[in-house]
Parts: sequence; C-alpha cells; structure tokens
Amino acid sequence: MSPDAVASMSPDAMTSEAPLFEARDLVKRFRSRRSVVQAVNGVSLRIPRGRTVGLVGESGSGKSTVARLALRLLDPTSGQVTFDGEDLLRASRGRMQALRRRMQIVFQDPLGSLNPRMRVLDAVGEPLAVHRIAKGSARVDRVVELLERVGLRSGDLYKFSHQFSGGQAQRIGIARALATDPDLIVCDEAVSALDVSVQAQVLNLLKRLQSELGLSYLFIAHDLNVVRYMADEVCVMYLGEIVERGDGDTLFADPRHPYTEMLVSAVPEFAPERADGRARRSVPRGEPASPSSPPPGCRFHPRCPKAMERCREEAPALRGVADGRAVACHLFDAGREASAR
Amino acid sequence: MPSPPLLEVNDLYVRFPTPAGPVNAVAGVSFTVSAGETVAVVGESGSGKSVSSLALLGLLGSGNISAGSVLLRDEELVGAAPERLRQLRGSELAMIFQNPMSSLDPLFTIGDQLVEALRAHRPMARRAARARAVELLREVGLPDPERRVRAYPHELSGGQQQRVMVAIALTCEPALLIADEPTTALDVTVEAQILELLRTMQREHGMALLLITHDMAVVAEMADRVVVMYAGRVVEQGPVAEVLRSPRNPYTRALIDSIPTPATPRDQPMPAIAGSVPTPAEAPAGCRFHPRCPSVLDRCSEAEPPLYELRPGRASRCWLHDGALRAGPAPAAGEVHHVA
Amino acid sequence: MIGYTLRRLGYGVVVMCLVTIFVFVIMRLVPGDAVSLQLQDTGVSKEAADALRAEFGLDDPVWVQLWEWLAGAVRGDLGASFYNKEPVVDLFLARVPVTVQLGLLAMLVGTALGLTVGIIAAVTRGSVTDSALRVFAVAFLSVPNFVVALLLLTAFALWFAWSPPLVYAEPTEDFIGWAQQMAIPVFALGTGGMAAVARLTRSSMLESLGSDYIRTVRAKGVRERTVVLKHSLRNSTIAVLTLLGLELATVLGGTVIIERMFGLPGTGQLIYQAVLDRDYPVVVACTIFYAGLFVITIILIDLLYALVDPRIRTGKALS
Repeated sequence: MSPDAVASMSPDAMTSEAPLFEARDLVKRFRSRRSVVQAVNGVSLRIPRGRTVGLVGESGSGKSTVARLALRLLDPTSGQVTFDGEDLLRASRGRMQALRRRMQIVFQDPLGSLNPRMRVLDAVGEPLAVHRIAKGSARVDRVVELLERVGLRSGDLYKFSHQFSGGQAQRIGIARALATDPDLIVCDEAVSALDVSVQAQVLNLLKRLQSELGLSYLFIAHDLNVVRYMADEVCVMYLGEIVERGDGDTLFADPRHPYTEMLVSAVPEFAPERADGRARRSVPRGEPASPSSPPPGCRFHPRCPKAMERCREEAPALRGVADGRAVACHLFDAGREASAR
Repeated sequence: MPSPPLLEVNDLYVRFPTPAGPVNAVAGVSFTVSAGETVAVVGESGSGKSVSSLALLGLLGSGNISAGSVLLRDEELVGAAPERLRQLRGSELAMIFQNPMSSLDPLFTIGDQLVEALRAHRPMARRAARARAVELLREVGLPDPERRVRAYPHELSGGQQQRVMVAIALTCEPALLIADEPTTALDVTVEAQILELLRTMQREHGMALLLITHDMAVVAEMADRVVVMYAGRVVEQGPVAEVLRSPRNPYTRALIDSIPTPATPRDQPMPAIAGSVPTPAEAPAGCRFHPRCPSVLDRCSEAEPPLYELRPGRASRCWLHDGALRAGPAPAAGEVHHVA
Repeated sequence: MIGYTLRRLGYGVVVMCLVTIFVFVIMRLVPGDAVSLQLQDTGVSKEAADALRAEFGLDDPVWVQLWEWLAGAVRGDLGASFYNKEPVVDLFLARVPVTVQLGLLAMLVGTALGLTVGIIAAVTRGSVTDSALRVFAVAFLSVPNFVVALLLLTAFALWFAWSPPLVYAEPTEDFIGWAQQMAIPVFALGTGGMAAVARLTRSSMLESLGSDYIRTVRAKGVRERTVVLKHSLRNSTIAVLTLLGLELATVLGGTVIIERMFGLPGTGQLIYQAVLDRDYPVVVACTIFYAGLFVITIILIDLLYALVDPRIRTGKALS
C-alpha cells in the first residue's frame, strides 16, 4: 500500500468533511554531532473541526515533536501540514503570522510557562497585542471575558502567576490560548502536572470550551485514561511512529497492536469495585530503544511477545483493520491475506 | 493486637520555617506499619505525605519534627541521637525516591555506590562488597550486572536507575522500605516493571513497605492498608479494598470519583472537586477540606472534626460521623473517637 | 577524548598567534620607541638615531617587522633585547622559574584555603562562623592583592619587627631565605583567588548538599563526613575548576606588581620594565609566555573536568 493510500484512509465517520488540520507523512530528524535522532517517522494525522485527536505514548515516542511540527514551531524534515486547506509549510511569513492566531498551544507546566513578572492582564492580553487585535480598554474587556470563560474572576486581573495554584495557572494558560479566537488548540501534557482533583476540573473546562466554541484539539498525554476520556480518536505512538489508531473505547478495551496491549496492561488497575480481586497482569518487558538507534524492521519487535522473523526485517505499514481502526503490525497483514484467500 | 507494629507514628507534627512564620506541613499524623505489610500513604500536593516519610528518617532539609513520636520496634526516633539515626538509615529503614535520574551521584559508578551502602553498616572487604553488589544488581533484574557494576548512572535508563536504587535499599535487608513516589517519573510500562520488582523483593525479603504516592491506582495494586492525607492531616484510613470501594470521608470519595478510568463516560463531565489544593500555609480553619466539600455542614468551618474510629482499623475525619455519637462535649481535634 | 584534547590544543595555538600579533602591532602604535627613549637627553644626532632604528629594524613597515620576527620565532630565535642586546630567550628563561614558583604556590595556597573556608562555611550554614567567613571572603575579594601585601608587610614590621629579605635566594641554595621572601607575596597573590574559590565552593556545596543524590547517600546511612568530603565536595569541584582558569589570570596579572614590590627577579618585573622601555622583543616574548601558560592551564582544566565528571568522559548512554 502506498503511503498516500495509508494517509487518506481514515476513520470513515470523520471523513465526511475536509478536516481542519491534516498532517501527512511527517518526518523529523534531529542531527547532533554524534547521531541522528529520528524523532518522528512518517506520522499522518487528521483533525476534523470540533473534534479531538489524542496522542499517547511514552517518553521518546515523539508525541511532543508532533505537537511542535503541527504548529510549525519546528519545520519537518519531510511531509506536509495543511491547516484549513492551506499548506503551512509553503505559507509566507506574513501568512503564517495570520494563521498562528488560529492555532494555539497549552503546555504542561502552567507556572513555568507564564512569565512571573507579568500580571494576568498582560499574560492573557499579550497575544491580543502581538496580533493587534485589541488594545486599551477593549483589551481589558476582552481579558475579563476570557478569564470568566475559564472560571477565573475579573478580580484576578492584576495578580501575578505565582499567586495562583497550579490548576488556576493552567486556566490562565488556557485563557491566553483562547485570546486570539483559535480553531485548533494543541494541549501538550496540559493536565499532567495537576493534582487529580484539579485535573478533572481542567478536563471539564476543555470539553466545555470545545462545545461552546467549536474548538479542535490535538490532545497529547501519557495517561491513557485521560486521553480516552478526551479524544474522539486516539493514536498510539511508539518511537516516532503511530502503531495503532481508533476510537478510544474500543482501542483500549480491545487493543490490536501488541504495543497497545502492553501499554494497556501496564496501567495500574484502578477499579474500586474490583479492588480486592487484584488482577495479576503480565509485566511488560524491556524498555524503549533510543530514537537515535531504532531497531530495524518493526521498531517494537525487540520487546514484542509476538515478534516473528519478518518483524526483524520489514517495517509494517499502518493499515485499516476494522471500522475506524488502523494497526501497524504484520500480524494483521497475515490475517488479511489469510482471509482474502 | 497480635504483635506490636514495626513502625508506629503518633501525632507527628513537622514544622517548616517560612518568611511568614513557621508552618506545619504535617499536623498530628498517626499510623502504623506492621512487619511485612504494605501501607500506602496517598495524597495530593501539599498533603504532607512525603514530608512525613522524610521526617521518619531524619532527612528533612529545613523542616523539623516539632511534636509527636515515631517508634521503630519500640525505639523512639524523635529526638534520637543523629548517630543512632544514621545507623538505622540504610540498615533498618531504607528509602527510594521519585526521581532516579537525580538520586544517584553522577560522579561515582553504580558499583561504588552499592559498595558504599554495604560498607556503611558492616565491616566488609572491598572485594566481597563488590561481589555482593553484582549479586544485588542481578537480583533486581539489571541486565548484564558484571558490566553494569562499572557503569555510571547517566549510562542507564530511568527504569534501570530505579532498579539500582532498589538494590541499594536492599543492601542491609531493611525491615522497612519507604518508597516515595517510586514510579511517578517513569513511563507506564517501566512503572509496571518497578512495581512488580517491589512486590517480588518484598515477598522475598519479608520487609514492610511504606508507599508514598499520589496515584490511587498504584495504591489499589500494591497496598494492604491505605492512609489518605489532605493538607497535613490524615482524613481516612483502613484496608485498601474497603477504602476504595466504600470511602467514608467525603474527600476520599470525591478524589476517587475524579480519577478517569476506562469506564468514565466520555459524554459527561468528570466529577471534579471544586477549588484548589491548599498549601500548608493557607490551610483553612475548621475542617481543612470544608471549602471544597460537597457535604459541608455549618460546623465544618468552625471546628476541625476528630479522626473517628469507625471500627478497629478503619477511621475517617468528618463531622458526618458525629451523628453516630451520643451527645457530649465536642471532641478535640487529633483525638481518636470511637463510634458506637 | 584525544580528539577533544587535540582540538583544544589547536584552539590554544590560534589564540596564542592572535595574541602575539595583537601585542606586536599594539606596542608599535604606542608613542615613543626604544631608540628615542634610550637616546633622549644625550644629544645624539637624528642620523645616529635613525641608524640605530635601522639596526633594530624599526624603520620597516610593521608587517615587514612582524614577518621577520615570525621567521625568527619559528627557528626558536625571539630576537635580542634592544638594551643589552642579550638574546630574549636567555633573558627570559632566567626569570621564568621565579614567576612559576610564585604563581603556582599562590594558586595552590589560594585554592586550598578557599576550599577549606568554603567547606566550613557550607557545613555551618547560617551560623556565626559562616557569616564571619563570608565577610572575610568578601573583604579579600574587594581588596587588591598589592594592598594586602602592603598591609602584611606593615603588620609584620610593626608587630614582629620582621621584614622579608630583599635579595632573592634560590630555594636549592637557601631554602629558609627563599621561604621567608616568598611567604608574603604568595599569600597576598593567593587571597583574591582564595576568596573567590571560597564563595563558589560554599554556594555549590550548598546546592549539592540539598540535592537528591546527597539525600540518597544520607539515606544509605553514610557518615556525614563522607557525605560532605566525598560526594558533595567532588560534585562542587566541577564549578570550582572553571574558576581556577580565571584565577590564574588574576594571579599572573598580580605578579607584575608583586614581583616589583618584593624585588623578585621574575618575568613580571621583566615585562614591566620592558613595556616602559618599549623593548618590543622582550614584551612580545613575555606575552607569548603568559598566553601559553594560560592556554595550557585551560586545557589542563578541561582534562580535569573529564577526570572528575564521567558524563564528559564517556559521552552518552550505553544501554
């Protein structure tokens, strides 16, 4: 199957209209003096309007690099990125500036990503000034509106970020991202640093904003359950590649790719109603290889309990297996061929 | 009581100096750990869970224990001579930490750091210690221990570094291993491996495990009993299965509800706790959870409820349990009250 | 590691060449030359002076002089002094040992005292000892070394009626005399470095003592002495090593004045007099010497880094 065919094959429910965001075959290599790190290797994504695509993966999986490539904070080594039908990689500097208004990012460390010397008014209002959207009292009004939207008060306008708790600081980060009326928000581990009781608030806020404003999210996290809750479609990444994608519920209830299976079984079991019947799950083996020297063939084969001879030599392509499901694994090639015969 | 507990913490207060005056990060915490048992102390940031565990070993930087008692096999550790605490650390009480990357000295080999731990408590020839170090590394599942014993920490992955930390902790067969967020910095697949390692080591060495964590799922997987902390106070404790299945304290209940699970409905808002976790300095008067509590009563803002013993081994700090008490003078905070 | 060292050496050679050329040219731009200074008030004719200039090659354009000098330099001939016509190399080699002794001892004394003071201050943080040591360190950091030297001379003269001998003695001939003469200069030169080392040692030890790996060492039940002197100190030396390179510059700069004050026949005195006399060959030779010393020290420090820190030695992950 050609890469183009793979990229165009997506969950059918989501292909009814042109997606807001689409990435095709993104490749990103970082060169250092000694080695080349293949951070992202052929990732394709499409995010329909008003929907959420989730990315899960462990450290080194390349999920944060994908976030930066999506916003063109980094330029890919190869591949294509389109936003609302426009080719981001060919956009002029001025055009890019205009498009940036419509794409924002929320980071993991809420306190660290706010300038400690800025008052809330300036932190949230900065994008308004940068993009010359509003100034003076119009800007103050807009910031107040944004603060109320994310559940803060106008009384917080002149406070500094250190006067807020982590959850409130993340609300400020979200208000700042909303300032330019974006269509797409990339949430890069946006709730990972928060306490559980606060994490739920922020997740609810993000969902509410999505339905109120019709936002699209690229939601990146390492917590499977958080991604499942947030995303309409979940992509599982391993060493720079998407190994499986599909609807979160079915993906985690019935993982197809051996890595997804490993990931799901590794998550500590938390089901209060079953807390005494502790399941003895299988313990994952090995650790991810370094992205600077990925194994040949399928990148997962050294850790895969089901690895075959073929996996050592040939990298499997991402193929559709069932409704909205795609898996990059030779096990499913075999299944297809067998059923076709 | 069948046997006296291995570790008994009683009404512990830990105080930190701040520019605004001293603040109690831990205020009146009591719990016990019996030999061979796994007890989890769970809480969010600012709950005082890590501070309590560091205080036990005398490893607090600027804070100090201002009141209370810590008994290890009936020996009082609060106020014990620093030399006595040093002897106990690493031999009877071992500890592993959250961040394996920064918890090993970058300038010494894994072997050197193990040998140092071995020789800190018993006279041992360097050669014998070296051989024992390799053995320990093999036991914690570090691949190729003969070679890795000469490796430096930066040459290992996070999971391997945490295995080395476990090996160091096991050098003197401690009676109690304190694990402070041992898997928080690790990826889930590696987390599962380290939790499994801790379980195996505990079984094989018969040690007790005091697990400090923010993750209820880790508690559910690992612990026999759980102590739930909030803003420096114990709010609920009991057997893990009971506490998780039928939490009695409103905070525990709300906390459990706000954890996303594979069964959380995607089309509904997550149950969340309003407000934010207070820092020790801003802990409110009365019940420390009352501003965020869904079942708040008038009296919650006036006085702090005691830790009610609902039945032996099960306790919760909430005025809701007071209905079961006969009329009487309001009990003072910190005391344990029996519910009829 | 070898490639790294060679690259450093390469940079060092380039730096030395640039410094040499810079000094060569700058000296000739300073008004007045050796001839006019030697012949002033003697009433010698302009012709005679020009002849002398021609003899020294001073009438050629600067770049020609530079070229001729370089041609000699590669053969090991650094020219002759414009005054006594002695070969610069001989003049110079006679004086190097004194400066090297003085500089090395000052560095050693400064570093040793600085580390000691820093460790004591870090371990007793917040106490009276700590505050006293910090005041003491700031005082030494802010007072120039020749002032320290003067104060010491005065103090010894006033209270003990003692002052160091005025004539330099070789340590191999008269060790006591040598030691007596070197003591105050070495100490005075070392104080600035000592104060800087003490401050840096204190702050980096405090950082290290609060670190996770020190917590682990303590959790192992290791004695506090070992915690401080083995783990914390070794981790702190990485920062201190960087400082030593800078300290060398201060010490070498200090030798120029201190050698004159104490009548020590070192290169500091030589360069001082040569600059006043516009004795170009001597100035350039001394400059090369100082630059070379500096480059070698910096390479040594880089090698020491690698010795102390395995992360530099072994690069990245083997897992």
